[in-house]
Amino acid sequence: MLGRLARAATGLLALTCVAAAGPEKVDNPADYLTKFTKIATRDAHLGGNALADVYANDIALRSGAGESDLASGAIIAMAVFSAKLNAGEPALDAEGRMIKDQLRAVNVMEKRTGWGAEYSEALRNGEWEYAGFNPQGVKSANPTTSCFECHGTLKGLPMDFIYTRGELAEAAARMKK
Amino acid sequence: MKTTACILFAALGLATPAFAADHEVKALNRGPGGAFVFDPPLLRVAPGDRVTFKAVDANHTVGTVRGMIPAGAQPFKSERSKDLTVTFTTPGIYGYECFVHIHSFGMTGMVVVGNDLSNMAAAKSAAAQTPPVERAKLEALLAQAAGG
Repeated sequence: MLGRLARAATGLLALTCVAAAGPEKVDNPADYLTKFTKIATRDAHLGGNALADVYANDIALRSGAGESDLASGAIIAMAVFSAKLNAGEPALDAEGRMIKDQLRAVNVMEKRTGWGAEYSEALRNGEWEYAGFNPQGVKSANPTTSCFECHGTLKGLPMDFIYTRGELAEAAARMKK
Repeated sequence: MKTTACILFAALGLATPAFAADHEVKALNRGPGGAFVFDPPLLRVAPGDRVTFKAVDANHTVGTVRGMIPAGAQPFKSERSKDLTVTFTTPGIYGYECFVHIHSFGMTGMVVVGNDLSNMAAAKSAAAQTPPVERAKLEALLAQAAGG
């Protein structure tokens, strides 16, 4: 009886560790606006009334030229904003782009040597981990499985699981000039 | 059964009803057109036909491109990784996209309902406001749609 309880507790603890291990490793890059470089903007983020600015830290930029995988310590931060609405539809600027209303979240992907080993090969995104933060910098308790699943569709492509890999490479090339 | 029904209607002197057809568009990670594509990318259907957008590969969505549906038609949007069946009743051009893969891959497609291309100008204007990779694909599809 005690043995069964102990095994059950160990299993539960292991599950908790696996579930918590990923986002727990990623710190809030609170200085991304001043220390990172904006590399892309995205209208209609995931098809909603939202838009996003994507930033990369120096390590991501320095290792981001071409199609090679990024170096350990690379961080990509995506600031997601609600879009200003006009009668329920997104208001558009003179160029037909959505207009930022309020910052809703900062979603972060970070890469470190050895990370990702806890995940199954089907779910793993190389050495990347993900975490979401609210505008006050508080980490979200939501599972990051959907981050892995979406970015995981890029597995096998020379993009290192980053949707803005092309823009990152362009920004890296500009930095070298 | 369709033949029998047609004969029966003809015998009764009634106009033969058009039977709605079912079509399928697959959302693929790898397809005939490359990475992250809808197959077929351009589909021509009759008013009243149904199209099922099949989530063959996971983590795709399908939803109308803003401004790229005929006047009076309803936009549609699927959940991620879920099939969606749409009955197309209003003639015209419908552009749709995968919201996950539009920016980097231009994962987009088009349904042309009937022979009405009257929203072509609006569709071109809407395409011009999409990200570059998607814009190029939509413009190619619109040219194909116009070509008949």
